[in-house]
Amino acid sequence: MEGKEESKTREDQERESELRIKVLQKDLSTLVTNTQIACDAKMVLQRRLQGKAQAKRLAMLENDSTSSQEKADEILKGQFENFLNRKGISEDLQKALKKQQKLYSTIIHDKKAIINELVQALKFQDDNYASTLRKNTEEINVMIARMEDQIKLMTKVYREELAQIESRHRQEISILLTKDKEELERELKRLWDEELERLNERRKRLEEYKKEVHEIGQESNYVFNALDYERCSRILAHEREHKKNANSNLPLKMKKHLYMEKQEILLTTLKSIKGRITREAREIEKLKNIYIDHQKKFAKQSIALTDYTQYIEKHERIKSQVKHFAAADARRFEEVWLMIEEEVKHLAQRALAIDSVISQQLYGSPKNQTDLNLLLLSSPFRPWKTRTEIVQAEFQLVESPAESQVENLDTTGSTTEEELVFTDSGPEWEEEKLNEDMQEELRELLCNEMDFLMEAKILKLLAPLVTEEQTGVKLGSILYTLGIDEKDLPKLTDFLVRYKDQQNEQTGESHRASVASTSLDLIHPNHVLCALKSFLEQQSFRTSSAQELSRLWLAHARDSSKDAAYWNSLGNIIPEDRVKLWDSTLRTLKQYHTVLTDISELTQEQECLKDENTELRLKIDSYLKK
Amino acid sequence: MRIIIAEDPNWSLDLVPSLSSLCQRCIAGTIEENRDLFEKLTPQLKDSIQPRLSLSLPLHVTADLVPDGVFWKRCCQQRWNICDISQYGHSWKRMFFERHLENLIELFVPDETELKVILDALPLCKNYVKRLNITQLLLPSRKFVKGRDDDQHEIAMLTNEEEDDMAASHFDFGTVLAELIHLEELHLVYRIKQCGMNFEWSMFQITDRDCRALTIAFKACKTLKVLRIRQSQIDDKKCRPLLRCLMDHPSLIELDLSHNVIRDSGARSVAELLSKGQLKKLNICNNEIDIYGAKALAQVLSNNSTLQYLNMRLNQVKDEGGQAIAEALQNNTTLTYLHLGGNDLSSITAIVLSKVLQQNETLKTLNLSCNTLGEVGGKALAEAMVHNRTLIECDIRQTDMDEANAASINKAIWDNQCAEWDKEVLQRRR
Repeated sequence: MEGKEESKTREDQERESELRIKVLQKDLSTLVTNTQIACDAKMVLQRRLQGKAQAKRLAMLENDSTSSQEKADEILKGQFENFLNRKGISEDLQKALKKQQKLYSTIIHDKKAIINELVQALKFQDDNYASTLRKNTEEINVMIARMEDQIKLMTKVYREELAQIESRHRQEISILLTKDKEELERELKRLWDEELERLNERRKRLEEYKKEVHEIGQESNYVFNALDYERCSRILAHEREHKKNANSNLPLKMKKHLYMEKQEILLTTLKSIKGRITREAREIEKLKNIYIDHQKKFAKQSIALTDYTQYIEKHERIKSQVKHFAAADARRFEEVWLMIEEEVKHLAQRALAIDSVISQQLYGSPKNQTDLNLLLLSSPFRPWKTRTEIVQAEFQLVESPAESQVENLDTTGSTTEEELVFTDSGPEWEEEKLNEDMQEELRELLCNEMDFLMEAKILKLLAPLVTEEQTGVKLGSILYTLGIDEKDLPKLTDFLVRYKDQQNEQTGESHRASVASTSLDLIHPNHVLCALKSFLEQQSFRTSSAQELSRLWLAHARDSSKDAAYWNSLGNIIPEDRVKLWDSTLRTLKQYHTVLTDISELTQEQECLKDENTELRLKIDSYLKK
Repeated sequence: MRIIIAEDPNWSLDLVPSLSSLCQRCIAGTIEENRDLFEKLTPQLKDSIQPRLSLSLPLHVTADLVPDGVFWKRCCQQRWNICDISQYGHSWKRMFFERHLENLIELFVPDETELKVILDALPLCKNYVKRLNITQLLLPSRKFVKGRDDDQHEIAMLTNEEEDDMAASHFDFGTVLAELIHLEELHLVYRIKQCGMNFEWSMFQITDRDCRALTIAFKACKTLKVLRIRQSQIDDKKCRPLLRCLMDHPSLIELDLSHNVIRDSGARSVAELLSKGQLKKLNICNNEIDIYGAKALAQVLSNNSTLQYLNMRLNQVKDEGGQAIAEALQNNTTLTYLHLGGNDLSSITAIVLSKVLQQNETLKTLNLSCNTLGEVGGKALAEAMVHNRTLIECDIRQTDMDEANAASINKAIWDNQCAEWDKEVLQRRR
């Protein structure tokens, strides 16, 4: 409460001082404002005076103007009268003039007076202005001085106030301090007293507690001892009981032993199982290793496989290349063949021509030039182009079961080939199934003709068997060696029959007659081989186009056998006896030639001699003339 | 062992300047070349460099580079003896640039000084100038010379004087106002200081051409808040275009046309401006406004809701005008200051005012000094003041009042003042 009151007083004091300062400010500033107001008042007064003076001046001027106007009117009037009374005497005129002049002068005088007045007023005003200015400056100086004084005063007052406030605050603070100190001391004293009392109480209590603790400790000692005894007795009882129990536990021990044994057994089995498990684990590991090895191997193999596929591809490429090369070689061969043939033919023609010339010249018998084509065998070489075309045609017809006999190299004409193609149409062949007898006969024929393909041993072994069985076995072995399926057997037989027919057509009547005599239906035994070859070729061609190449080559190889005869025929186009004749004629011609040369030499000698003769004769003549 | 000691015996390790201070010294010395370097410095470093900068540095270098601080203080104190920073928003830089520009304009002689001087300074000043306080404006020098030197020519000159007056013009503010983007206050006085014996009335008045130039200039200056044209012989004719161009000005708050010669029609245009603008302070003291002007102002005042301050000291409003203004206060709720000192008012106005004062609760300051209110008026006012609680200042000096009434009025004012202070104290404490 006291503090609050204090603060209140302080605030009040501050407020009071503030108010005092404000009043002071106001009172002091009133001085200045008063002067301001005085100035304003003076200004107002001045204005009023000015207004009055101005009004006065205005009135004066107006008066003046009216009076002068009157006078001017008078003058004008006079003049007008004068003008009217022209007849008047000059004196009058002069009078009037004088009057006018007087009037003018009065007007001028008046004006001058007014001007003077105004000038005076102006001067007065100027003086006034100057004086007011002076006054103003003085006043301003005074004001400044006053203001400075005021400022000083104000600062002084402020300082005083401040000092007062400060001192007051200090006082308050000191009072408060002392009060607080007193209070503090009092409080402290009270506190200390309380503390002392409390300590005393505590000491007392401590002593009491000590006593209590001692008592409690003794009591607890007793209790502990008693407990100890009890425990000892209990332990002893326990031991006793334990011993008793040990004695009674013997059968239990036996059982336990048994159990133990069992356990051991179980343990051993367990161990074995464990061992097995470990072993198996090891095995598994091994297997794993193996598996890994295998995996690796597989990987390698897969690599190898990829290699292999690459190789296959390579092989295919090489194959195609080979095919290509084969075709190219064949073409080149053909070209070379044709070229050489051409050349040789040419040569042969020339030889024939020479022969004819020789025979004509030497023997005089004009022999007709023999036709080359008549002399020559037909060329065993068919132009390659047609062949390839046909192959292509074949490929188109490959579906038909009866295969054309295009590959028969003995055939020369394309017409026959076409015929064959048409005649070999499947259904026809199917319908004209050969009867059993004919087939059997054919088989026998085949066996007999083809037994060179079989080994001698087998033949010997087969010899004692019945012919029918023999044929069966032989046929099987032959078919096996030839690579023909048994299903194709009927086809073969059919082919053979057809072949025979064809052969007959080709070779003409003479052959037919001879063949017909032996057997009308069956193929000639000598032709069997050829037929079989052609069949095989056909078959292989049909079965696999991959074997085409080899077949082509086969065709060529077989071709070459005929080639020799052909070339021989070409070489022997001039017969032997004719060559001999030529030789003999050469010899005789040579002899003739020698004779002729001798003759020519002799004629030369003769000529020489003739010349000598003539010279000699001339010499003789000269001599003679001399 | 040899120890090398510097030859200077005064040398000691303590005296060796730190590298940073050396750098600062270097930067201060070469600030013209290394402007970027200075810009990158921290504000603390900039402040520490400022005392070292040379005052002879060209303005175009320092204007935007050096922030407000010691450097500008030094600049100001070097140029002017008295530097009251409190009038410049406590900014030395602003003070420097404002006074610099003021000096340039005050010493600008039209037709003689090149406009380039000011145009060069404008871009440097424009960011810092908020107020222009022009205390003099020079005229072309030709006229003084002729007028002064040979009196014989004076008569001949008189015939041409009218035309010359028309032609003569002060500094054109168009360019300056357009350029100064932060300008808020413009104080103009069309006069010449220390003209001495060359005095001529034409030196102390605004011309028509100036008015025209100003109207154009004000249109360009959109930030202007305070306009003050004092002691410039503005009459009704010149007043009208000026005020008309200010009518739609976006920011003008305070207008001061005191110490001019504005009459009724001028007062009417002022009233027009009041009705259309947002003026808060209007000072038209020491003019020649009469009854009709006062009536026009009073009419606006009764409707206006922005004006807070009206000073009509030393006019000739007279009783009729005073009555009109007093009646206008009945409807007004914004005006807090009214000065009607020296207006030829009498007790009639005082009686009307006393009626108004009993109701009005906004007016705080009233000045009726230098009016002959008389005892009747004083009594009426004293009675009115018993009921008024807002008026804290009422000047009734030089009003021919009797002491008792004046004392009672002052007592009432004093009470009001005390109440106001208490309120203030309470507010402060909160």
